Amino acid sequence: MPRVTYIESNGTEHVVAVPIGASVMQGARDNLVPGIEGDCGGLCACATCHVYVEPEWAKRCGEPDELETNILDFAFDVTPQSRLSCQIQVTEALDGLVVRLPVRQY
Amino acid sequence: MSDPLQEPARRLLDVLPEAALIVDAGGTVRYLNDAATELLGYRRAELEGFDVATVIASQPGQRVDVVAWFARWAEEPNSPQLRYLTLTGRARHGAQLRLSVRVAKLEAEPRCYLVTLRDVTAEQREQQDVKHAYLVASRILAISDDAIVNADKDLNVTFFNRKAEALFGVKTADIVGHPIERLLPERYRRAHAGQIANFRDSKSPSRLMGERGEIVGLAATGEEIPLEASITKVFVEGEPTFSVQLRDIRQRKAAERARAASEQRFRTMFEHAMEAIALLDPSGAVLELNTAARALLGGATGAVGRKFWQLPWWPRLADAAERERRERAIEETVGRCARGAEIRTREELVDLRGERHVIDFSLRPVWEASGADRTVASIVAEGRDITSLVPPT
Repeated sequence: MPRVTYIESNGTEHVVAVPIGASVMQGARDNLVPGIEGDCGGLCACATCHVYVEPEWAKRCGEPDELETNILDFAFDVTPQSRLSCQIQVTEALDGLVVRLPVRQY
Repeated sequence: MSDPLQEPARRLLDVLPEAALIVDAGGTVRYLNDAATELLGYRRAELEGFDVATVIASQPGQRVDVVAWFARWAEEPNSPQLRYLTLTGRARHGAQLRLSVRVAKLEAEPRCYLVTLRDVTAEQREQQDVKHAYLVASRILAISDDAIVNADKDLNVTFFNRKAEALFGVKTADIVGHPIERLLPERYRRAHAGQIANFRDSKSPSRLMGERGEIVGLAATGEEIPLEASITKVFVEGEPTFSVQLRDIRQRKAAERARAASEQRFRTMFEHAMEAIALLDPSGAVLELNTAARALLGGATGAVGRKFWQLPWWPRLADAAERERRERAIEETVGRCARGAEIRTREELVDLRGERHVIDFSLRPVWEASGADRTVASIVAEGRDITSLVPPT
C-alpha cells in the first residue's frame, strides 16, 4: 500500500498506508490524522481538507479542476501548492507522497 | 436608490423568521428584514445603501469574493456546496458569526439577490467539539496497549485497533463487518454467543478484567492466545454495541510458569539437602524449615512461626533451668546475627532416642540493600550432623 506522510502545521508527522483508489483525505480520516476535516465526505464541497502538496509531488498529483480551484476560495492561506486532499486519489505513483496541513480548516 | 421590492413582498420578508438581505450585483445592501436586523444588530438605515462586506466578508487568509459567490449560488440554488460552505458574518457588537446562506436571483432592475442567512455558529462549534472529542478518544483507543474490538448488535466487528491487529495478525479491513467469533477457537463459538446474549440482557453495564476468567483468542496463524477481557455495552437508539478490551497474558503466564518451575527447583534443592536449613526473620521467628531440619527435631511440626530457640532441640532435657540457659544462649546468638554477625559453632544435641549428635552449626545474615543503609532481612541457620567425623568423648 502506498505510504503518505501528513505533516501537521506544528511539525508532527503521520506516516500512514493508504489503499490505492482512496483519497488523501480518506487516508487521513481513516488513520485519525488531526487537521483534515473532510466535512462533505469527499464531494469537493466544503474546503475543510485543504493541504499543501510538496512541490516535487505536485505534478504526480495532477492539476486541480475548476471546481476545486473555486472551492479553495473558502480555504485559508491558499498558496500555489494548495489542494483539496479529497480530490487527490492515491496511486502507486504517489507512494511516498508528502503533504503539509494548514494551521486551520475553518 | 430604486426599490427592488414591492410592498407586499417586503411585508412577507419581514414576517419571515429567517434573516434575509437583498443585495444588488454590485454588493450594495438594498434591504434587510426584521430578523436580519436582529441577527446582525444593525438598524436598516445603518446598512441599506452600504456594502454587504460590512456584515458578510471573507476572513483574513481567505480569498472568497462574497458577491461573486452570491451570483454563482443564485444560478445553482441546489449546489451541494451550499450544504457545507459557510460565510463569516460580523455583527455590530463585534461577534463573528458562521452563516449558512441560500441565494435566489430576483427579477428586478438592477439585478439583485435575495440572501437568506442562518446562524450556525453554535451548531458548528458543537460539531467541532464533538469531532475533536471523537478524534482524541479514537487516538487513545488506537494506541492503547490493550487490543480493543467493538461489535454491533449482530456481533459483527465495527472497530479494531492497532494492538488488536498485532495480537490477532488480522488487518482491520479484513475483520470489520465480519463476525467477532472469527477471533475465537471453533469450540468456544457457540458458548460465546450465549454469554454475550446473557451480558446484553443483564443489568451490569460492564464486566471487568479479573471479574471473569481467562478467555482464549484465535490468531490468524491458528495460535490460541490466552487473554483477559473487559467488556462494556452501550445502547444506541435501542440497539446494543459492545466494546471488548483484550489483554494478551501469554508473557504473564510464561513468567508464572517460569516462577513456578524455579520455585520447584529451589524447593527440591532445599528439601533434599543433607544439611538442616532454616530461614529466620530478624526477630528469630522460623519462616522455613527443610526436611533435614525437621528430622533433626524428631519430626517436629508447628515450627514455622515459633522462635528458633524455642524449638525442641533438647527433648530429653528435664532440667528447666538448664533448658532456659541454653535457650537464652541461642537467642543471644541469633540476636548477634540479626545485628550482622556471622556465627559458626559446634553444638551437641541428644535426640528422643538418646543418641548424641554433634552439629556443625552456623548462622548467616542475609542483607537487604547495600552500603551504610543495608539491613538484615533474614537469617539462614544451617546445621550439619558431623557426629561420625568426631571421635566420641
